[in-house]
Amino acid sequence: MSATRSQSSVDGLSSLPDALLIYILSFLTAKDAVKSSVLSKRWNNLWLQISSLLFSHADSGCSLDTFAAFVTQVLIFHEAPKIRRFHLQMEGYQEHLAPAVDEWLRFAITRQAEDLNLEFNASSHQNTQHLSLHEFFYNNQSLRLLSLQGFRLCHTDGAVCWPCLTRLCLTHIEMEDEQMRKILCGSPSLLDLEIVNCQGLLSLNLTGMNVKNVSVGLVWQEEGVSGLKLLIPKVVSLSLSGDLEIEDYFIEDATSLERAEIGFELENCNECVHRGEGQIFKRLRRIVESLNHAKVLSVKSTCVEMFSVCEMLTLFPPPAISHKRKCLILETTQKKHELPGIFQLLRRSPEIEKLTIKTCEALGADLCDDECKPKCRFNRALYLEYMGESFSKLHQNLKTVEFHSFLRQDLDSEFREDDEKLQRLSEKEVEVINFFLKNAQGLEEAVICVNKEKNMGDPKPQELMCNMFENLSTSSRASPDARVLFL
Amino acid sequence: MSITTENNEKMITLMSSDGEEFVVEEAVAAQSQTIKHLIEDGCSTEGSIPLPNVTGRVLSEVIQYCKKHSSSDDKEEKELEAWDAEFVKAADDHVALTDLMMAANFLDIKGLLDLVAQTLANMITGKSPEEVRRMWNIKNDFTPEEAEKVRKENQWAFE
Repeated sequence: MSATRSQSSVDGLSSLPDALLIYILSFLTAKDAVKSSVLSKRWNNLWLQISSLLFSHADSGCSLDTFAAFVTQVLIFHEAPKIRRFHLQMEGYQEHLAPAVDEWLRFAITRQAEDLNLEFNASSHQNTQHLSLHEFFYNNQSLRLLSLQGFRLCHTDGAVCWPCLTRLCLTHIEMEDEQMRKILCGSPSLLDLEIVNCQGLLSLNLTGMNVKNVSVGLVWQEEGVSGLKLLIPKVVSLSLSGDLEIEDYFIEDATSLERAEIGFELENCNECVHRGEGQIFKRLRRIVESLNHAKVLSVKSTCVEMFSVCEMLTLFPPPAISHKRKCLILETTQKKHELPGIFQLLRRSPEIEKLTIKTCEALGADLCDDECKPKCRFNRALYLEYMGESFSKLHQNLKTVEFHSFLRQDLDSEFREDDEKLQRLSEKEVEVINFFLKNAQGLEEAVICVNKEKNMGDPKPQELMCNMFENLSTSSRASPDARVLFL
Repeated sequence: MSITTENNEKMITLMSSDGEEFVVEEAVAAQSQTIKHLIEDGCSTEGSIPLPNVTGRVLSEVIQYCKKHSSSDDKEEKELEAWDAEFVKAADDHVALTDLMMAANFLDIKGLLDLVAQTLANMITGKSPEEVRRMWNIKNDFTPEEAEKVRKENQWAFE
């Protein structure tokens, strides 16, 4: 222990009052919290007062029944009249545990838990567990955050009453529209809604609700692609993800939307690109068009690639122009074949004032298949030069370009050792930044995020950073007053 | 005494228990609910706000945290999380985390309190009682008979 430390660090945790020790114990899983009872006399009964009960079956390494017995035992001993969090994570679920789970939930609700998390990770070969939650579960005045995962949410007869619920996350949940409608009806304070990998929903109607942020991904049906209908007139921020091969979205009312993000992935990209005469692209185009009045549009790299393929093969006309869009955020792996997609999206966003480009890692295989490849044989530098003139005419309002370099992230060790690869990626980035400096006439500021602080003193990233800096400081500018900032 | 800077930001002077003075923007200081209430009650007009329970070393760390969190409304959450992790690692080299926790509690800065508590909890996670005692200098004051009794009582948790 360093000599400069104050006295209390010598005493360690013992210098803290009981209330703070209990506070610390409340961040431990229940198992670790209970274990603290054997440390000393003072610690013996502290855990009885913890405000968070976090039960994790995965961490416990014991059988389901042993784990269940443990949970029951903890709840018998626990004394605090109120708890804040109750999290229960189980690997699988068995019918005979239903009465126990009921008892536990009753405990959490009578102790006024605000943050409730119920997670069952059924193994893939098992059928979805049907969990009937009792009426008392649906009538809860203290609940603020609720997260449910891994079961079928059965239909309830009574109404739902969650007056304080602000955030609801449903993951791997099977449910029908009627149950969703009841939940929404009974949760007037709801602000954030997240639905991931859920089955059975056909429509999400938030008319009359104050929900501000919605995130939806992978909502599918047992058979075929039927699509989820979204009526979200007051929603401000919408994030869509999932696999367009098995799902679809119909956004019918999104008049308050300010920020939209599309992050679709394609599981079997090479096979499905042309299947059904490009159904997937048509879907993507329709979805993007329905988000056209959002001020901010953020597009993840796979979707940028999809736009690229459309552009190169001229499969369909590009999506309609958005005059409301002021800010465009694009993710790219900096591969050449993504450029046409980037420029298509730029052309469809003539009013943008801010453009953010983020270099990201490549996930999975390229979408660019044999049919595309011949179209990809263009020269990167010439392509950029060719695009310059039309870009500078169209994007007079562009004031800020933000560029998130790959240097901003933690580089994994394999990547770090490949000097040549790093060098190439860095050159591509410089090329793209230079394009905007050279052609954006109204540019006021170019912000280049390289994580200067972190990379200072690390030889390779520092060298790349310096090269980038040198290269950009001498490049030509369409807007002489534009500031270039390195962050 | 409150002075204003060029950008019209009101400044507040905080005085640590060992007499060190820190001049910070009001918005930064108000990350602490305790200080925020003192300002609202007009306690900052007659000079600096004394913080008798917090040493200068600890206060300087606390202010670093408050500065970051008062200026990062529109920053990405992930970025802030990464910053927090770095901050608490660095703070651990300068001050005792327990002192930082006491200060966060007294000044009522929930984010910092949770951050430090989580860090301390992580240090305990997965360790045997003996290891925890050694790490935190906790004296095992059970007699052998008591220890046996406690162990039996809690047998179910150790299975």
